[in-house]
Amino acid sequence: MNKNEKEYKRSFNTLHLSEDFSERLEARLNDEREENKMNSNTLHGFSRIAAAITACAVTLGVGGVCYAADLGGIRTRVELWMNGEKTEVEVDEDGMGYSWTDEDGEEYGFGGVTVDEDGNEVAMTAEELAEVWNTGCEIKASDGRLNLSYKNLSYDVTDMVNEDGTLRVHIADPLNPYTYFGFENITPDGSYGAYSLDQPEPGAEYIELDAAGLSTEGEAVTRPDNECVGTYTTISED
Amino acid sequence: MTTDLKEICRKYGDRLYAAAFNICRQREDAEDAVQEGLIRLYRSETEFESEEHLKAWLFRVTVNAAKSMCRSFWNRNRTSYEEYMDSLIFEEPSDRSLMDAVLRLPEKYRIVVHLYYYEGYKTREIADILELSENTVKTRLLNSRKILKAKLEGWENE
Repeated sequence: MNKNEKEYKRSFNTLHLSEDFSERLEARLNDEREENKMNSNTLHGFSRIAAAITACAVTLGVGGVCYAADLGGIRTRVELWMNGEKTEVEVDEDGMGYSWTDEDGEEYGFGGVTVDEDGNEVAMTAEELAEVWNTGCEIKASDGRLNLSYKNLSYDVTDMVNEDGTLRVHIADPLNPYTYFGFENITPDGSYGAYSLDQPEPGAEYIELDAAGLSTEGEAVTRPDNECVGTYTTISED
Repeated sequence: MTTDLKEICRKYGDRLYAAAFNICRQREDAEDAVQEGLIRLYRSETEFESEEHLKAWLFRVTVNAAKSMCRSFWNRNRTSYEEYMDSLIFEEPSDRSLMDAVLRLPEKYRIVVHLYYYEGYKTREIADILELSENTVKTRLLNSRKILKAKLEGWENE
Protein backbone atom coordinates (compact mmCIF):
# COMPACT_ATOMS: atom_id res chain seq x y z
CA MET A 1 0.00 0.00 0.00
CA ASN A 2 1.54 3.36 -0.98
CA LYS A 3 1.57 6.45 1.24
CA ASN A 4 -1.33 8.19 -0.52
CA GLU A 5 -3.50 5.11 -0.26
CA LYS A 6 -2.63 4.59 3.38
CA GLU A 7 -3.41 8.17 4.34
CA TYR A 8 -6.58 8.21 2.27
CA LYS A 9 -7.86 5.11 4.04
CA ARG A 10 -6.97 6.48 7.45
CA SER A 11 -8.84 9.69 6.69
CA PHE A 12 -12.03 8.08 5.35
CA ASN A 13 -12.02 5.36 8.01
CA THR A 14 -13.46 8.00 10.32
CA LEU A 15 -16.78 7.73 8.49
CA HIS A 16 -19.34 5.39 9.99
CA LEU A 17 -23.04 4.83 9.60
CA SER A 18 -25.21 6.15 12.41
CA GLU A 19 -25.78 3.82 15.33
CA ASP A 20 -29.48 3.52 14.52
CA PHE A 21 -28.90 2.73 10.84
CA SER A 22 -29.48 -1.00 11.32
CA GLU A 23 -32.73 -0.32 13.13
CA ARG A 24 -33.93 1.93 10.34
CA LEU A 25 -32.92 -0.63 7.75
CA GLU A 26 -34.77 -3.32 9.66
CA ALA A 27 -37.86 -1.12 9.82
CA ARG A 28 -37.68 -0.49 6.10
CA LEU A 29 -37.27 -4.22 5.47
CA ASN A 30 -40.31 -4.94 7.59
CA ASP A 31 -42.25 -2.44 5.51
CA GLU A 32 -41.06 -4.20 2.38
CA ARG A 33 -42.15 -7.58 3.73
CA GLU A 34 -45.54 -6.23 4.69
CA GLU A 35 -45.97 -4.68 1.30
CA ASN A 36 -44.98 -7.90 -0.41
CA LYS A 37 -47.39 -9.84 1.79
CA MET A 38 -50.24 -7.55 0.99
CA ASN A 39 -49.25 -7.48 -2.67
CA SER A 40 -50.50 -3.96 -2.65
CA ASN A 41 -49.97 -1.30 -5.24
CA THR A 42 -47.99 0.85 -2.87
CA LEU A 43 -45.04 2.46 -4.57
CA HIS A 44 -42.06 0.71 -2.98
CA GLY A 45 -39.40 3.28 -3.61
CA PHE A 46 -41.33 6.19 -2.29
CA SER A 47 -41.40 5.45 1.43
CA ARG A 48 -38.18 7.26 2.01
CA ILE A 49 -39.23 10.10 -0.24
CA ALA A 50 -42.45 10.57 1.65
CA ALA A 51 -40.52 10.53 4.92
CA ALA A 52 -38.15 13.15 3.62
CA ILE A 53 -41.03 15.27 2.43
CA THR A 54 -42.73 15.08 5.78
CA ALA A 55 -39.51 16.21 7.39
CA CYS A 56 -39.28 19.11 4.97
CA ALA A 57 -42.81 20.19 5.62
CA VAL A 58 -42.18 20.16 9.34
CA THR A 59 -38.94 22.03 8.95
CA LEU A 60 -40.56 24.73 6.90
CA GLY A 61 -43.84 24.63 8.71
CA VAL A 62 -45.75 25.65 5.62
CA GLY A 63 -48.70 23.83 4.14
CA GLY A 64 -48.26 25.28 0.72
CA VAL A 65 -44.78 23.96 0.16
CA CYS A 66 -44.20 22.68 -3.36
CA TYR A 67 -41.27 20.63 -4.54
CA ALA A 68 -40.50 20.86 -8.21
CA ALA A 69 -40.16 17.69 -10.25
CA ASP A 70 -42.01 15.16 -12.31
CA LEU A 71 -43.15 11.60 -12.99
CA GLY A 72 -45.35 9.82 -15.47
CA GLY A 73 -46.91 6.58 -16.79
CA ILE A 74 -45.35 3.68 -18.68
CA ARG A 75 -44.46 5.89 -21.63
CA THR A 76 -46.05 9.27 -21.67
CA ARG A 77 -45.63 12.47 -23.65
CA VAL A 78 -45.50 15.64 -21.60
CA GLU A 79 -44.52 19.21 -22.33
CA LEU A 80 -41.62 20.44 -20.22
CA TRP A 81 -39.60 23.59 -20.04
CA MET A 82 -36.08 22.43 -20.85
CA ASN A 83 -33.16 24.80 -21.32
CA GLY A 84 -35.41 27.74 -21.97
CA GLU A 85 -37.71 26.02 -24.45
CA LYS A 86 -41.05 24.30 -24.12
CA THR A 87 -40.27 20.81 -25.32
CA GLU A 88 -42.43 17.75 -25.86
CA VAL A 89 -40.74 14.90 -24.03
CA GLU A 90 -41.48 11.18 -24.02
CA VAL A 91 -40.83 9.84 -20.53
CA ASP A 92 -40.36 6.16 -19.66
CA GLU A 93 -41.28 4.49 -16.40
CA ASP A 94 -38.17 3.30 -14.57
CA GLY A 95 -39.39 1.83 -11.32
CA MET A 96 -38.90 4.85 -9.09
CA GLY A 97 -40.42 7.31 -11.50
CA TYR A 98 -39.67 8.29 -15.05
CA SER A 99 -36.61 9.12 -17.09
CA TRP A 100 -35.64 10.43 -20.47
CA THR A 101 -32.59 11.51 -22.40
CA ASP A 102 -32.32 14.88 -24.10
CA GLU A 103 -30.78 15.46 -27.52
CA ASP A 104 -27.36 16.09 -25.96
CA GLY A 105 -27.46 12.66 -24.35
CA GLU A 106 -28.03 14.05 -20.86
CA GLU A 107 -30.22 11.77 -18.79
CA TYR A 108 -32.99 13.10 -16.59
CA GLY A 109 -35.18 11.37 -14.07
CA PHE A 110 -38.08 12.37 -11.89
CA GLY A 111 -40.75 10.91 -9.71
CA GLY A 112 -43.20 11.88 -7.05
CA VAL A 113 -46.14 11.09 -4.86
CA THR A 114 -48.88 12.84 -3.06
CA VAL A 115 -50.12 11.75 0.31
CA ASP A 116 -53.88 11.51 0.69
CA GLU A 117 -55.94 12.25 3.80
CA ASP A 118 -55.40 8.71 5.11
CA GLY A 119 -51.66 8.98 4.71
CA ASN A 120 -51.50 6.76 1.64
CA GLU A 121 -48.96 7.52 -1.02
CA VAL A 122 -50.52 8.10 -4.40
CA ALA A 123 -48.48 8.35 -7.58
CA MET A 124 -48.91 11.61 -9.40
CA THR A 125 -49.93 11.56 -13.03
CA ALA A 126 -47.48 12.65 -15.67
CA GLU A 127 -49.53 15.77 -16.31
CA GLU A 128 -49.59 16.72 -12.63
CA LEU A 129 -45.87 16.26 -12.38
CA ALA A 130 -45.16 18.11 -15.59
CA GLU A 131 -47.02 21.02 -14.06
CA VAL A 132 -44.80 20.90 -10.98
CA TRP A 133 -41.67 20.59 -13.13
CA ASN A 134 -42.73 23.60 -15.17
CA THR A 135 -43.09 25.77 -12.08
CA GLY A 136 -39.56 25.01 -10.89
CA CYS A 137 -36.25 26.46 -11.87
CA GLU A 138 -32.81 24.95 -12.10
CA ILE A 139 -29.19 25.97 -11.90
CA LYS A 140 -26.53 24.67 -14.26
CA ALA A 141 -22.80 25.29 -14.26
CA SER A 142 -21.19 26.36 -17.50
CA ASP A 143 -17.75 27.84 -18.16
CA GLY A 144 -17.30 28.61 -14.49
CA ARG A 145 -20.60 30.47 -14.25
CA LEU A 146 -23.88 29.41 -12.63
CA ASN A 147 -26.96 29.97 -14.74
CA LEU A 148 -30.44 29.78 -13.34
CA SER A 149 -33.21 29.05 -15.81
CA TYR A 150 -36.92 29.50 -15.28
CA LYS A 151 -39.29 28.79 -18.15
CA ASN A 152 -37.87 30.81 -21.07
CA LEU A 153 -35.68 33.09 -18.94
CA SER A 154 -32.09 32.65 -17.88
CA TYR A 155 -30.05 34.51 -15.29
CA ASP A 156 -26.37 34.49 -14.37
CA VAL A 157 -26.54 34.03 -10.59
CA THR A 158 -22.86 33.29 -9.97
CA ASP A 159 -22.31 36.46 -7.98
CA MET A 160 -25.63 36.20 -6.14
CA VAL A 161 -24.80 32.96 -4.33
CA ASN A 162 -24.02 33.53 -0.66
CA GLU A 163 -20.76 32.34 0.87
CA ASP A 164 -22.55 29.45 2.54
CA GLY A 165 -23.80 28.18 -0.82
CA THR A 166 -27.37 29.43 -0.41
CA LEU A 167 -29.44 31.55 -2.75
CA ARG A 168 -32.95 32.97 -2.42
CA VAL A 169 -34.64 34.45 -5.46
CA HIS A 170 -38.13 35.53 -6.41
CA ILE A 171 -39.49 35.67 -9.92
CA ALA A 172 -42.85 37.37 -10.37
CA ASP A 173 -44.92 34.94 -12.44
CA PRO A 174 -48.70 35.48 -12.33
CA LEU A 175 -49.23 31.89 -13.52
CA ASN A 176 -47.26 30.32 -10.68
CA PRO A 177 -47.86 30.90 -6.96
CA TYR A 178 -44.68 29.03 -5.98
CA THR A 179 -42.08 31.57 -7.03
CA TYR A 180 -40.01 32.03 -3.88
CA PHE A 181 -37.08 29.78 -4.69
CA GLY A 182 -34.57 28.59 -2.15
CA PHE A 183 -31.32 26.85 -3.04
CA GLU A 184 -28.95 25.18 -0.59
CA ASN A 185 -25.43 23.78 -0.87
CA ILE A 186 -24.79 25.20 -4.31
CA THR A 187 -21.39 24.08 -5.53
CA PRO A 188 -19.30 25.40 -8.43
CA ASP A 189 -20.10 22.25 -10.40
CA GLY A 190 -23.81 23.09 -10.21
CA SER A 191 -25.15 20.60 -7.68
CA TYR A 192 -27.60 21.82 -5.06
CA GLY A 193 -30.79 21.15 -3.13
CA ALA A 194 -33.78 23.35 -3.80
CA TYR A 195 -37.39 24.10 -3.02
CA SER A 196 -40.07 26.59 -3.91
CA LEU A 197 -42.61 28.30 -1.69
CA ASP A 198 -45.75 30.32 -2.22
CA GLN A 199 -44.56 32.96 0.25
CA PRO A 200 -41.20 34.26 1.45
CA GLU A 201 -39.44 32.25 4.09
CA PRO A 202 -39.55 34.23 7.35
CA GLY A 203 -36.38 36.22 7.79
CA ALA A 204 -34.97 35.33 4.39
CA GLU A 205 -33.93 38.00 1.91
CA TYR A 206 -34.90 37.32 -1.69
CA ILE A 207 -33.23 38.74 -4.76
CA GLU A 208 -35.88 39.88 -7.21
CA LEU A 209 -35.08 38.60 -10.68
CA ASP A 210 -36.39 40.59 -13.63
CA ALA A 211 -39.37 38.76 -15.10
CA ALA A 212 -39.62 40.92 -18.23
CA GLY A 213 -40.20 38.73 -21.26
CA LEU A 214 -41.39 35.78 -19.21
CA SER A 215 -43.54 33.38 -21.21
CA THR A 216 -47.25 33.69 -20.51
CA GLU A 217 -47.96 30.38 -22.18
CA GLY A 218 -50.17 27.95 -20.27
CA GLU A 219 -52.69 28.19 -17.48
CA ALA A 220 -52.20 29.26 -13.89
CA VAL A 221 -51.19 26.55 -11.44
CA THR A 222 -54.11 25.65 -9.21
CA ARG A 223 -52.71 23.15 -6.75
CA PRO A 224 -54.93 22.65 -3.68
CA ASP A 225 -53.46 24.14 -0.52
CA ASN A 226 -53.78 20.92 1.45
CA GLU A 227 -52.04 18.73 -1.08
CA CYS A 228 -48.76 17.37 0.20
CA VAL A 229 -46.59 16.96 -2.85
CA GLY A 230 -43.20 15.35 -2.87
CA THR A 231 -41.18 14.97 -6.00
CA TYR A 232 -37.59 14.62 -7.07
CA THR A 233 -35.53 15.05 -10.17
CA THR A 234 -32.17 13.73 -11.19
CA ILE A 235 -29.79 14.79 -13.91
CA SER A 236 -26.98 12.57 -15.11
CA GLU A 237 -23.43 13.55 -14.40
CA ASP A 238 -21.84 12.46 -17.65
CA MET B 1 -21.42 -16.38 0.48
CA THR B 2 -23.92 -14.99 2.89
CA THR B 3 -27.14 -13.53 1.61
CA ASP B 4 -28.14 -12.22 4.99
CA LEU B 5 -28.68 -8.50 4.64
CA LYS B 6 -27.62 -7.71 8.19
CA GLU B 7 -24.34 -9.49 7.69
CA ILE B 8 -23.80 -7.69 4.40
CA CYS B 9 -24.61 -4.40 6.11
CA ARG B 10 -22.15 -5.20 8.88
CA LYS B 11 -19.50 -6.10 6.36
CA TYR B 12 -19.95 -3.38 3.75
CA GLY B 13 -22.15 -0.75 5.39
CA ASP B 14 -19.42 1.68 6.42
CA ARG B 15 -17.60 1.25 3.12
CA LEU B 16 -20.74 1.93 1.11
CA TYR B 17 -21.41 4.90 3.36
CA ALA B 18 -17.93 6.31 2.77
CA ALA B 19 -18.47 6.04 -0.99
CA ALA B 20 -21.94 7.59 -0.79
CA PHE B 21 -20.72 10.39 1.48
CA ASN B 22 -17.93 11.08 -0.97
CA ILE B 23 -20.63 11.84 -3.55
CA CYS B 24 -23.34 13.46 -1.41
CA ARG B 25 -21.12 15.21 1.15
CA GLN B 26 -24.14 14.97 3.39
CA ARG B 27 -24.69 12.38 6.10
CA GLU B 28 -28.44 11.86 5.77
CA ASP B 29 -28.38 11.59 1.98
CA ALA B 30 -25.44 9.20 2.12
CA GLU B 31 -27.23 6.95 4.63
CA ASP B 32 -30.35 7.00 2.48
CA ALA B 33 -28.25 5.94 -0.49
CA VAL B 34 -26.79 3.02 1.46
CA GLN B 35 -30.24 2.00 2.61
CA GLU B 36 -31.48 2.19 -0.97
CA GLY B 37 -28.59 0.02 -2.14
CA LEU B 38 -29.28 -2.63 0.50
CA ILE B 39 -33.01 -2.60 -0.13
CA ARG B 40 -32.40 -3.07 -3.84
CA LEU B 41 -30.20 -6.01 -2.98
CA TYR B 42 -33.06 -7.44 -0.93
CA ARG B 43 -35.39 -7.04 -3.89
CA SER B 44 -32.88 -8.20 -6.46
CA GLU B 45 -32.98 -11.63 -8.02
CA THR B 46 -29.45 -11.32 -9.34
CA GLU B 47 -27.40 -14.50 -9.07
CA PHE B 48 -24.06 -13.31 -7.75
CA GLU B 49 -21.12 -15.31 -9.01
CA SER B 50 -18.79 -14.29 -6.21
CA GLU B 51 -18.33 -12.00 -3.25
CA GLU B 52 -16.51 -9.57 -5.57
CA HIS B 53 -19.47 -9.57 -7.93
CA LEU B 54 -21.83 -8.78 -5.06
CA LYS B 55 -19.56 -6.04 -3.75
CA ALA B 56 -19.18 -4.37 -7.15
CA TRP B 57 -22.95 -4.59 -7.68
CA LEU B 58 -23.59 -2.97 -4.31
CA PHE B 59 -21.16 -0.15 -5.01
CA ARG B 60 -22.72 0.50 -8.42
CA VAL B 61 -26.25 0.63 -7.04
CA THR B 62 -25.30 2.71 -4.01
CA VAL B 63 -23.22 5.16 -6.05
CA ASN B 64 -26.12 5.62 -8.47
CA ALA B 65 -28.54 6.11 -5.57
CA ALA B 66 -26.17 8.67 -4.04
CA LYS B 67 -25.93 10.56 -7.33
CA SER B 68 -29.71 10.69 -7.57
CA MET B 69 -29.95 11.68 -3.94
CA CYS B 70 -27.60 14.64 -4.16
CA ARG B 71 -29.19 15.89 -7.37
CA SER B 72 -32.69 15.60 -6.03
CA PHE B 73 -34.71 18.73 -6.36
CA TRP B 74 -36.10 18.83 -2.90
CA ASN B 75 -35.16 20.58 0.22
CA ARG B 76 -33.67 19.19 3.33
CA ASN B 77 -32.55 20.87 6.45
CA ARG B 78 -28.97 20.20 5.53
CA THR B 79 -25.83 20.76 7.50
CA SER B 80 -22.63 21.46 5.65
CA TYR B 81 -20.06 18.71 5.40
CA GLU B 82 -17.61 21.00 7.19
CA GLU B 83 -19.90 20.96 10.23
CA TYR B 84 -20.17 17.19 10.01
CA MET B 85 -16.39 16.90 9.74
CA ASP B 86 -16.09 18.90 12.96
CA SER B 87 -17.86 16.03 14.71
CA LEU B 88 -15.43 13.41 13.40
CA ILE B 89 -12.35 12.35 15.29
CA PHE B 90 -9.39 12.20 12.94
CA GLU B 91 -6.27 10.33 13.90
CA GLU B 92 -4.02 13.02 12.42
CA PRO B 93 -4.77 16.67 11.56
CA SER B 94 -3.62 15.92 8.02
CA ASP B 95 -6.43 13.34 7.72
CA ARG B 96 -8.98 16.11 7.93
CA SER B 97 -7.13 18.19 5.36
CA LEU B 98 -7.07 15.21 3.04
CA MET B 99 -10.78 14.53 3.39
CA ASP B 100 -11.55 18.21 2.91
CA ALA B 101 -9.39 18.39 -0.21
CA VAL B 102 -11.06 15.30 -1.67
CA LEU B 103 -14.54 16.58 -0.91
CA ARG B 104 -13.71 19.83 -2.68
CA LEU B 105 -12.84 18.01 -5.88
CA PRO B 106 -15.46 18.15 -8.66
CA GLU B 107 -18.12 15.51 -8.03
CA LYS B 108 -17.16 13.36 -10.99
CA TYR B 109 -13.56 13.13 -9.77
CA ARG B 110 -14.35 12.32 -6.16
CA ILE B 111 -15.87 8.90 -6.60
CA VAL B 112 -13.11 7.78 -8.96
CA VAL B 113 -10.50 8.81 -6.40
CA HIS B 114 -12.41 7.07 -3.64
CA LEU B 115 -12.87 3.77 -5.41
CA TYR B 116 -9.19 3.81 -6.36
CA TYR B 117 -7.58 4.78 -3.06
CA TYR B 118 -10.07 3.50 -0.54
CA GLU B 119 -11.47 0.40 -2.20
CA GLY B 120 -8.34 -0.44 -4.13
CA TYR B 121 -10.17 -0.98 -7.39
CA LYS B 122 -8.24 -0.91 -10.65
CA THR B 123 -9.21 1.66 -13.28
CA ARG B 124 -10.85 -1.05 -15.42
CA GLU B 125 -12.99 -2.14 -12.46
CA ILE B 126 -13.91 1.46 -11.62
CA ALA B 127 -14.94 1.96 -15.24
CA ASP B 128 -17.27 -1.05 -14.95
CA ILE B 129 -18.81 0.14 -11.68
CA LEU B 130 -19.35 3.70 -12.88
CA GLU B 131 -20.23 2.64 -16.42
CA LEU B 132 -17.56 4.89 -17.91
CA SER B 133 -14.73 4.22 -20.33
CA GLU B 134 -11.42 3.29 -18.75
CA ASN B 135 -9.79 6.29 -20.41
CA THR B 136 -12.30 8.60 -18.74
CA VAL B 137 -11.48 7.04 -15.38
CA LYS B 138 -7.75 7.41 -15.99
CA THR B 139 -8.15 11.06 -17.00
CA ARG B 140 -10.22 11.84 -13.94
CA LEU B 141 -7.73 10.10 -11.70
CA LEU B 142 -4.83 11.98 -13.28
CA ASN B 143 -6.55 15.35 -12.91
CA SER B 144 -7.55 14.57 -9.33
CA ARG B 145 -3.98 13.69 -8.42
CA LYS B 146 -2.75 16.99 -9.84
CA ILE B 147 -5.28 18.92 -7.77
CA LEU B 148 -4.55 16.95 -4.61
CA LYS B 149 -0.82 17.34 -5.13
CA ALA B 150 -1.26 21.10 -5.38
CA LYS B 151 -3.43 21.26 -2.26
CA LEU B 152 -1.81 18.74 0.05
CA GLU B 153 1.76 18.92 1.22
CA GLY B 154 1.99 15.23 1.93
CA TRP B 155 0.48 13.97 -1.33
CA GLU B 156 3.10 12.08 -3.27
CA ASN B 157 3.64 11.93 -7.01
CA GLU B 158 2.56 8.66 -8.58
